[in-house]
Amino acid sequence: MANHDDKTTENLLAKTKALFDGSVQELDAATRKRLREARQRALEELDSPPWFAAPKVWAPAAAAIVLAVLIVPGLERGIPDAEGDFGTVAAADLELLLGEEELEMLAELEFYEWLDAENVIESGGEIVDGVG
Amino acid sequence: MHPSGRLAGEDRALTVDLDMDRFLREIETRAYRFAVMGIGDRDEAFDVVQDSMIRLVKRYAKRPAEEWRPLFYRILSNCIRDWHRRRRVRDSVLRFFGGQESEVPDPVALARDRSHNNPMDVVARDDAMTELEQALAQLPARQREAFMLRTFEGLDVAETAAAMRCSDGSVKTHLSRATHRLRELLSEYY
Repeated sequence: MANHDDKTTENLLAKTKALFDGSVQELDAATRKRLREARQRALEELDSPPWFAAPKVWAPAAAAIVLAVLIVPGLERGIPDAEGDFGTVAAADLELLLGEEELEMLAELEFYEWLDAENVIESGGEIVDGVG
Repeated sequence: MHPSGRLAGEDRALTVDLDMDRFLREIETRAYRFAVMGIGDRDEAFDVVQDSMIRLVKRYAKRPAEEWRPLFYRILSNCIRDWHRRRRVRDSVLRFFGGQESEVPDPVALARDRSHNNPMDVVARDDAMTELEQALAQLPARQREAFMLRTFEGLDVAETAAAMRCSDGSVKTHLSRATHRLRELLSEYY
């Protein structure tokens, strides 16, 4: 009985394998052509740089780091501490944009430029010389 | 870099190119039939085979060539499993919105090109192949995978276990159950 089972199993395995092999042999020319193209496409990957060398992998991370390094310390300090410092200038710009007073000042820039030219504002912001 | 060192590197790269080309050439038709039987859709099978080839080349080209076969079939099996998972999700969503589910593949469309063969042989083989495909489709995925890898691809137990990411014992169990079930399903033919 066990022998008969073994033979039946062997027969099944041999016949199914033969069927599968036959179906592979009989693949048509169009299918083989598409498979050849798929292989060529895969082989092109051999010449491409590894994933970690691709700029698209690192670009977002690099941009995030640059932003963190330049802007976050400036935001923490709050005011510019050195002329030409991009980080603090960026922080100052942000403050300028967010502050209501500064926006008003921007709207009346010509007036403040005139005040400056006329030397009518002393330190402390008090208006002297009878203007206003 | 020393010129001879660079040349040696180039030689090595060229050897990998040739070896990989030979390997993919050897397995591409079998992999395609394997995918068609696992998926039941010719176009989808092409995509799955191409994806598997690309993943193998990208990730494992530098591994020893002897490892490529089980690695490739591991990738292919994963891709087939992912395809079924995606289809289940898509069908659930379509069902939810009252759309049509994925169509069952048409066996005529899946038929092979047999223009050069004796028509009687073709009919007999067609019937047998259709029965086999239907029987395999009734097996649980892991049993089908074990059966196809061991029987069709001739991977040994250890290679099949590596491809399926399971133990040798699990492979034997899956294979034994698959064979038993196929004997029941195909008793008329074998």
